[in-house]
Order: sequence, then C-alpha cells, then structure tokens
Amino acid sequence: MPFFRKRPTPSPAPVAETASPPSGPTGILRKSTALKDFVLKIPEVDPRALLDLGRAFQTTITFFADRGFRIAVQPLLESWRQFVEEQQAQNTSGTETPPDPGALAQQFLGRELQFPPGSFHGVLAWDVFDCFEPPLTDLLVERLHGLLAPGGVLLALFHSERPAQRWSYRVRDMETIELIPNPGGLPVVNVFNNRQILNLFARFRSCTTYIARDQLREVLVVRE
Amino acid sequence: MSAISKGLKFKGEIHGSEDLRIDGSVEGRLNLTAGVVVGPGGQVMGDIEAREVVVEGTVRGNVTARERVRIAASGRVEGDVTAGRLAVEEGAQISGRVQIAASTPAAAASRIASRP
Repeated sequence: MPFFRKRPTPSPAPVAETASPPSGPTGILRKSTALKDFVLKIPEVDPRALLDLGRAFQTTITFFADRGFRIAVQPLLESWRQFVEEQQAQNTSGTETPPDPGALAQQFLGRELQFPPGSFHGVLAWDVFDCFEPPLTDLLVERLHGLLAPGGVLLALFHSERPAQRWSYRVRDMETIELIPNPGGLPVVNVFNNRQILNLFARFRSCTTYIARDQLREVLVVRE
Repeated sequence: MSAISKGLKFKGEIHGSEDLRIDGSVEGRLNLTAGVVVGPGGQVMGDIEAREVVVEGTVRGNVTARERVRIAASGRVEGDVTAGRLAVEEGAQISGRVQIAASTPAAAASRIASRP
C-alpha cells in the first residue's frame, strides 16, 4: 500500500514540498523591501540558522531551506496564549493577587526560546512586539539579542494603529510577504511610535525603518 | 499495516519494519524502517524515527524521517523535525527546529540567485 496515498475522505489540498513551486496565494501579497534586505544582510556562514517566531508555513520553510538555512519555528504568540491560559487555570477562584507582569514575563521566557546564545543569524519576529506588554517586550528583545550571532539580523513589523483584523505572515518570495487572515490571533496591545521602536532596539548596531502605504512599518535591526 | 486503535494506550518502545498507524496514545520511542501515521486523534509522547512520517494528530517529541514528513492541517509537533522532504499543510503547528536534509540543484541555484 503506498504510504502517502490520498485518502478517500476530503482532506486539505496537498501543499508544495521543499524545492517545489509554492502553492497559490490565499492572503494579501505585500511588497517588502525589508525582507529582501533581511535575506541579503544575513551573515554568509555555513550553516546559517533562522528563527521564525510566527506560525509554521510551507512557503517560509521552503524559501529558507532552499537557501541552505537551518530553521527553528517557535510560534511565540500561541505559546503566550497557552501560558496565560495555564496561569488563569491555576487561579480559578480568582482570589489570588494578580501576578507581577515582570515575573510573568520572566517565567514565560524561562520556558520559551531555550537556545544557546548566538544560535541564529536571522530572526523573523513579525509583529510579536505589538502583542506583548512592556516588561515582556523588553525582555524578549534582550533574549533575541542574545540568541543572534554577531552581525545577525532581525525583521519585525509594527502597526501604526490598532488593526481591525489580525494576520499571520509568511514569505512568498524574496520581496513578498503574504498576509494570511488570523481571526483568532492575539490583539495588538502596543502601538509603538518611531522613537519607541528605536529605544526598543537601542542595543543593536543599526535599526532601519521601512515605511509603506499601509499601516505596517517594517523594521530591520542588525546586531553589533 | 499495524495499528494502535483509538482508545488504546501503549507505553514503551516500538521497533519494526511494518507500517504503523496510531489513532490511540503512545508514550515511548518509535523506531521503524517503514512509515508511521499519527491519525487525527492520535498522540505520541516520544521521538519517532521512520522512513516516512505523517502527523495528523499530536507528537510531543522529535520526528526524524529518512525520506519524508508530512504535517497535516490538524497536525501538531512539539519537537524537532528532520527529514529529506517536508510538507506542511496550512494550519499545521510546529514548535521546534526544522531541518531538511536533502539538497537539490534547484536549492543550490536559488542560494546563488539570492546573493547580490
């Protein structure tokens, strides 16, 4: 019996595999100069490693795997949602004092992103910073700074106002990001201004903001 | 094909050369020279090594396939995935490292094309 024989019951359409053409777009295609610069600025070492903090998408994995990257996927917003649910479940009576946000952030990062320092040459952070409160945002930047190798690059997206709809993001090609509707996604709780973004990444060697016509700013930061 | 049906729980290591389908629950390591399918309700708490692996349920452990891994829309892997080829359907969840062992001429070409 062929192991991967198509099942008789309806199932999702098969997806492209590594080195195959990507499947057709299902979201909004968005031109991204920052993505192109991100790919070109990642240090030329062998092997190169990428950390994707978004959902796992075939097109993103294929894009970077085809370029020789080792990839780690850590859907951080989903992990945070689970973490918060666990915290709430532990306090079902609702009588306990609300935990300190800084302690919660420390606890969360104590179990996530457990990689050796300097493990990655590129980080796709997408819009995670918009969805966390400041103690966690600051600690997360510090953790990512440590996880990046010298010269490593981080790509982040920042909303200029609270979006009406939530999206997930995936790479379609060198200059295109696809926005996939994510109705259950965590809400944006922070809208950073440009000064705040610069302050957030003050430890990095450079921080470049790419302004577009939509409400998404792309930010590329490079570790010293 | 052997099967661990829905409602069955197995604890321990599984070795073999026959295809295995898991719709129940397995706690332990799987090492097969053939293929493994973790069905939609199936759960594996342990590492899987096989020729081909399909994940439609949940795996908490590392998944290694000499040929191919397919993670279906309903599939969830909390662990590292290593395979010659990888297919990830829309909605699949992975939390861990992904390593694709195969290197193709097309891949090499696109690596060169991505450089200025």
